[in-house]
Amino acid sequence: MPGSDPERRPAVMARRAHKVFYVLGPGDTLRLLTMRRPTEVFQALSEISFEVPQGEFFGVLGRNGAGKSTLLRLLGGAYSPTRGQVYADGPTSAIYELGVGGNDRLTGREFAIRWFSLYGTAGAKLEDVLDEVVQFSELGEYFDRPIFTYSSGMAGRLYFAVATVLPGQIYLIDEVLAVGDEYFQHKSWRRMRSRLAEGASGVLATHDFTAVLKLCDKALILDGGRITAQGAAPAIVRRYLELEPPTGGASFIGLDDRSVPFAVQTEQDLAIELVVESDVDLPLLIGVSIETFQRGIGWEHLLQLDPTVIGSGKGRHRIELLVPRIPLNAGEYSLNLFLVAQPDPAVFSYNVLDARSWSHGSGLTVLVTGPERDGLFRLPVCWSHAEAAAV
Amino acid sequence: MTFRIEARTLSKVYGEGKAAQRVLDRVSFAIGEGERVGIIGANGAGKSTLLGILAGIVTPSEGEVEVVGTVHAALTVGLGMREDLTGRENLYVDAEMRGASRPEAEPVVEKMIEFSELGAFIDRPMRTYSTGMKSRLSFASLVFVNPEILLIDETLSVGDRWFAGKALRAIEDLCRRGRIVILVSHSLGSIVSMCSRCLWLNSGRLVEDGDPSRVTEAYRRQIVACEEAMAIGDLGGENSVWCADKAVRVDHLELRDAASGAPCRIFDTDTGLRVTAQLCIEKRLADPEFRFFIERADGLRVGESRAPVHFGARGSTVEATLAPLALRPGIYRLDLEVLSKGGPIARRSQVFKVTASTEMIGGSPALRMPIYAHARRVTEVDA
Repeated sequence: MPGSDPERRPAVMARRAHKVFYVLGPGDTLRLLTMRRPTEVFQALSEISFEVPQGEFFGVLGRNGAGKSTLLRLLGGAYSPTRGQVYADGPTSAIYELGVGGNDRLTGREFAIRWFSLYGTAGAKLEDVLDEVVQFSELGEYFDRPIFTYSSGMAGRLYFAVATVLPGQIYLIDEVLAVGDEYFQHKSWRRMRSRLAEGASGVLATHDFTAVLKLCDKALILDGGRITAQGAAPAIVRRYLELEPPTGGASFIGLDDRSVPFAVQTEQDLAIELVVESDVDLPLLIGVSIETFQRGIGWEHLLQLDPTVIGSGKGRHRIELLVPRIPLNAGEYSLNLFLVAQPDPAVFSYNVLDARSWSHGSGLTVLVTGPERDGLFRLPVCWSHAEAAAV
Repeated sequence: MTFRIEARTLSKVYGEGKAAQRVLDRVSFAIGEGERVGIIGANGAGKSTLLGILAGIVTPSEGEVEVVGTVHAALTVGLGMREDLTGRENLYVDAEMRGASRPEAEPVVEKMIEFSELGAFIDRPMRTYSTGMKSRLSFASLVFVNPEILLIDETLSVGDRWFAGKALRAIEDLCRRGRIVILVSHSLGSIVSMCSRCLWLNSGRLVEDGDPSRVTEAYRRQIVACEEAMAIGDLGGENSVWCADKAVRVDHLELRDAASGAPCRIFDTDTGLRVTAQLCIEKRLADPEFRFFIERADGLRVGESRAPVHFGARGSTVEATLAPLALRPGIYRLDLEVLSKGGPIARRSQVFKVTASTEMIGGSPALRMPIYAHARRVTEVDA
């Protein structure tokens, strides 16, 4: 995994962390005063262990009430673990659950000042930091009005702007990338991408799997306060989505044991021979996508073939896939193939007969070689010098 | 009794003197029985204030409002919930406040508890709830009442994706049962599918009032225009220029339609883009190159192309064509740079927009370059 240096300490770590809340009933205050434990407890987190290497974001997926927010609070030091250890290698900047954890009678400015007096400004001048927050959040005059007058989108913009304004922090982010309109989401992504490019680390708790795919290398799923799965982000997202397996009826032949990536040089043709065996007397379609999970870019659909008829009827079909002069820069890409039946126009959904895709846990890889270049694509630009006069 | 709402020149001003903020400005409308009204508008347009006035928790500064019917309002997550009581106790207190006795309330409250999916938390104090849990309880408390006039702020549907679907169905169901429903939502789709009428507020003023499809479409167009303007700002402005040294400059940059050669700023993804630049290179450069680079509004570095500069000319023109453009619809910035030893020394940038007349089915790829699949049926496969 690029960026994860075994010599360096992890940015964030939890080792067998537990969090237990005491549920106070009548008489329990007295019990506490006499140092006896209240009888009723709520086990919010159990046996939480994971590590976030420096320079990576880690995804925490789970339903409401799964313990995501409690986990972030634990990592940020707002709670201490009942048992086990948590650790963050540097200053953390956290947006806990939206709209909670602050006094909403404060104005945006007062909230920000209180925040920075608590967490510091990493040497920057408070005025400059506040200016940056107003500018990024685009709250305008609302910055000097109480937070309870904000809509949820405005509050989200404030919290996001405050928590991400300082570079070089360990960012603990709860759901916030889903806040605001499309424009603000773009802007938030720009900021997170640039923070990641600067080498920042963090944890993103969310139920939006696309955010995890875009930002995180690894992820875990929390359910009832326990980790039910942990690993590479695409695999974890797959678990989280619980996608229906392909229905069968037709299948790709000879790809099952393929572990070698398809290799190609940038701007050369990528040609792949496929064999499909069909047991059904129906038109068959093939859909193809090439996607990336590269660091700092995240999940992105790059090239795509919409489902296209490749034949009809039982038997074997041979298919030649061709990506002419593949316009991708050097790197590793995910290749996904879908064999689908003719769509039902009424429901507008495809019946997937067979798939070789990351989302079904069976994706293929394309390895593109070539010189290092900026950006994802090698754009096929034609150059001409209209006039030239030699010196 | 005929339920109705009538607002006459409603205004709301917060603050005094110089700091005064007019958040609602002479808003008038009348809503009759059976109407389901959606309210849309940007953040800070006055939607929440208007809902607050109709609910009777905000007093208008000017104008008056007449409401005939009992108002049920779901405006803020956890509003009206008593933090120290348990979820169950809160539901019973609400029922009592509406005049139901405990035996009358019990079956309804039990249904609400089931709907909320709060499990053991229903008997714990509200202060121990997460936002999502409070939101579920708020919803549950609405679902089984029979509202006369219902005010809903849909932004309250914070929840996980399982509960959000359930909440949406509940809202739809409520809208059918309510005699008058007023719904504030960011989801234009919900407004169109659930409402019979739509009000659009902009900076406190009522700018449109009418058919939901028509009003939401007008609103959508305005949002797109605004977002584009902001995206252009984020990309460094419409047209920006930089040089390390006055002796090497990109003096002029023009984006054109590749086919017609006409200056153009909005391209269909299937058409070509040609950029022409006038350069001024007044000194000899080591390893000079041109670079054509595209960045997307969300920060994605799309890619580049480079070409060697074969000359050190004064006042040259360079032309570069990308056809078809093949980019996903959106806002982009094109940089044309002069490089020396791989590092930029002069740049001029221009923002452009890409549209598409056709949509792809399986998602929206960053680049619409072709992949081909050719097939033939075989009886025997020799491989």
